[in-house]
Amino acid sequence: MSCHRPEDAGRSSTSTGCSCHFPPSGVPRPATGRVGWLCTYTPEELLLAAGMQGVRLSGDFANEDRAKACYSSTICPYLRAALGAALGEACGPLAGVVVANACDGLRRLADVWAHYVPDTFVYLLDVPRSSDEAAVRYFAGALQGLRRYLEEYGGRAISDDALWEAIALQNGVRRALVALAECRRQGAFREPARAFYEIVWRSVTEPREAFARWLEGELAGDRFASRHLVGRRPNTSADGPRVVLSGNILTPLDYPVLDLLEESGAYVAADDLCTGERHFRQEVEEGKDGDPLAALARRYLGRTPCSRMANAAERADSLLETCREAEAGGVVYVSQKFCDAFLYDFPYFKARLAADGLRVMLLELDASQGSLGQARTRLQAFLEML
Amino acid sequence: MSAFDLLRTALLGPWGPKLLPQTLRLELLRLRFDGSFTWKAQKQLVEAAMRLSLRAYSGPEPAVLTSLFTPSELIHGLGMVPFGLESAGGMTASLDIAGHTLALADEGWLPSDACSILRSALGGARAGLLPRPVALACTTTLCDSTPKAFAEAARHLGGAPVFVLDVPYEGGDAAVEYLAGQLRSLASQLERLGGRLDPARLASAIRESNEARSYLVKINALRRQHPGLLSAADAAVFLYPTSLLLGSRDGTALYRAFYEELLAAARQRTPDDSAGLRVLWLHLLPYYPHHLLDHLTNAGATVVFEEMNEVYWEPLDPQQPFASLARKCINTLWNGPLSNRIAAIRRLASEHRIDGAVHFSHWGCRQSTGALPVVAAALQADGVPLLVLDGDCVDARSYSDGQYRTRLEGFVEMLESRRR
Repeated sequence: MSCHRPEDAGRSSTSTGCSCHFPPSGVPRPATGRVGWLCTYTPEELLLAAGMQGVRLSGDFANEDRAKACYSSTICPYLRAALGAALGEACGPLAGVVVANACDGLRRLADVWAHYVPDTFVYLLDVPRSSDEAAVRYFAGALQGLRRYLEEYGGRAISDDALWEAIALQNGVRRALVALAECRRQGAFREPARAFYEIVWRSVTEPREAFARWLEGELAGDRFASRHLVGRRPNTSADGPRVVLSGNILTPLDYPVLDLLEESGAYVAADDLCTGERHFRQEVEEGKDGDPLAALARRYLGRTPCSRMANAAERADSLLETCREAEAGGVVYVSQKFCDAFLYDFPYFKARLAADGLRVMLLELDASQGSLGQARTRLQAFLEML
Repeated sequence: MSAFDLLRTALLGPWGPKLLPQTLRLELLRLRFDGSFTWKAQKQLVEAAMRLSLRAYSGPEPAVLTSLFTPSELIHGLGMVPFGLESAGGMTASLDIAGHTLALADEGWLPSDACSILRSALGGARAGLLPRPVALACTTTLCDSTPKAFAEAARHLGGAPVFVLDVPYEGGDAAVEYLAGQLRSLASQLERLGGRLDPARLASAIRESNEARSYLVKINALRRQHPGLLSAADAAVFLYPTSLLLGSRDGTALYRAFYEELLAAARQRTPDDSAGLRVLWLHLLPYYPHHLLDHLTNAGATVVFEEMNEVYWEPLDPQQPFASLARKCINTLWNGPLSNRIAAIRRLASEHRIDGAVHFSHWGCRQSTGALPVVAAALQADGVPLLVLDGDCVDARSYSDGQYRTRLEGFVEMLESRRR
């Protein structure tokens, strides 16, 4: 049982402004090195360097009712489904969860998780909303807080060398995923649309070294697409209207939306998603003489921003560039329902993209995909305009 | 057609934006002869709010559009005028024009499931009903919507620059230093936009805030000793001065006036240990006319305190204005882990010896309602029942008086049976 129950409140607050909530003393710690995370602002490198396996959490509808009983029903469906998975143990044994302080849903999830999910730690990592030097310094301090916590929890020091090794490993994964994304932009990725995201999802859930080796092998020789078509249906829309997906999160629960896009004739040429290219596009600058935490802070705050960061214009500029590079005629703006940050940005993005002759369609996701029929009709009408 | 209907119609017409300052002037004149207030200080508060709003519309000082936790001390200390975006949203409900402003927000594709307080204010911005500020300055404290709403508001307010104060989740030296640096930078930026950064003046604003705070603390102590001395309906308006008038002479004067008036009234009463059922109100009350408190009173319960009126911050240091304002921003109960808020609710529950609590869950407020079952569990562990009323603080169409009445009466009956 986590000690973040109200009666246990007040234990722990580091000088860096981060929340850490230890399981209460006397509770045996699970013999697993798996640590859950949810937001792309979570530095996986720290978990790797601590000898833990970071697992991006997906969701489970089997426990929807249990999740609704302890978490608002008017909050991010992805996070609710992830909580459901944790309550039902569908996500497997976890030592704990690192929650980035990135949105209202995550903040409240940390509160609920600490109260209702037994025997796991909850670490809330503060993440600034700007990328200036003061923010980088502050975030580097917050990362130091997480490092200390993981050291205490895991009972082993996290050296700078271990951090640089983890950074190199993750950079390698990023480079391979970027190569895959380029393959998709060029139209050479002729697998079903969801296959791309299944690979990206594997990159955040499987042991990293093995995954990195596998992906590098698959990409060698420029034969990725043909090798993977064996036994699977090809992407039927590879020559259809090219679209870019922009928005927040597509988890495996949302992949029916990708099937729908493909069935409607759209080719997803690129994306601007927390679970897509925005997650892996920028590397951490490697330089063993420097401070690895500062390098991490600079990369995570400086990469293409999510909507929760202060500057929407920067993300819009980046999206326009992506559309140009991918030769896309339109953008499908996908957002989890109740995600205020992304939904507030939509009218601004719509206007900015329209000024460049790009058409935009909003698709709200509720994870249960109960309204896919309506979405199909709207999507078909949208694609006819491209 | 009543004068109120006339005002409403005029505001919604094409001349509404130009009529607003004139309307405020007329209203200030009318207020001089208005004897309908329960407390004289209440009238003083309304007059102060109207004067502040009028200055935002008509000058001469530059106006800054602020959010609930933007430190008003800093804005007053710079010789500028704060105008609250959330207050504007609440005002649309009070003036019964929220239906119109929310429709305007919908036309602009603003998310229909997000907080209607901000959406309605943004509808007002689209209608030209907000003053033209030289800048917008908000904090990230409350919710994800706030900085987004400020960016959207700026697009309808002449493109004034938006400054977002990134408030760390919890305290500590690094967090205070990070936010204090941002406050210093904000002060410098606002100085370029017409503010006057004079350390003596800023220190004076801090002292004003401290004095107002001391009266608010005394008011709350009186309310503990005399439950029902100040009704929840009357106390709900404190949210305006605590967000916009702290740091100003008006703010200090009205809290002093409230305290002195309440003290005089309290001297006429004996400390109340009667057996009346005591209720703590959590989160907000609707801004439109409603009968929630009447239903409680009629059923035999009294709201003895509101969570929103808790003084959560320590006195500020005039010698270190930025650091102490940073601490105040970080330490609000609406920032940081829920355990902070729960600890405060428990303290209030104990201090006011409450029998139960009512939480009005404003639709779209992920911050206050996201983890409400954890609050309920904590109160349950203390033996305090919690009634959760789902509703909307601005959109009166969601208000169903009969249903609320049934639930409130049932709740009070349950509290009574527990007491027996």
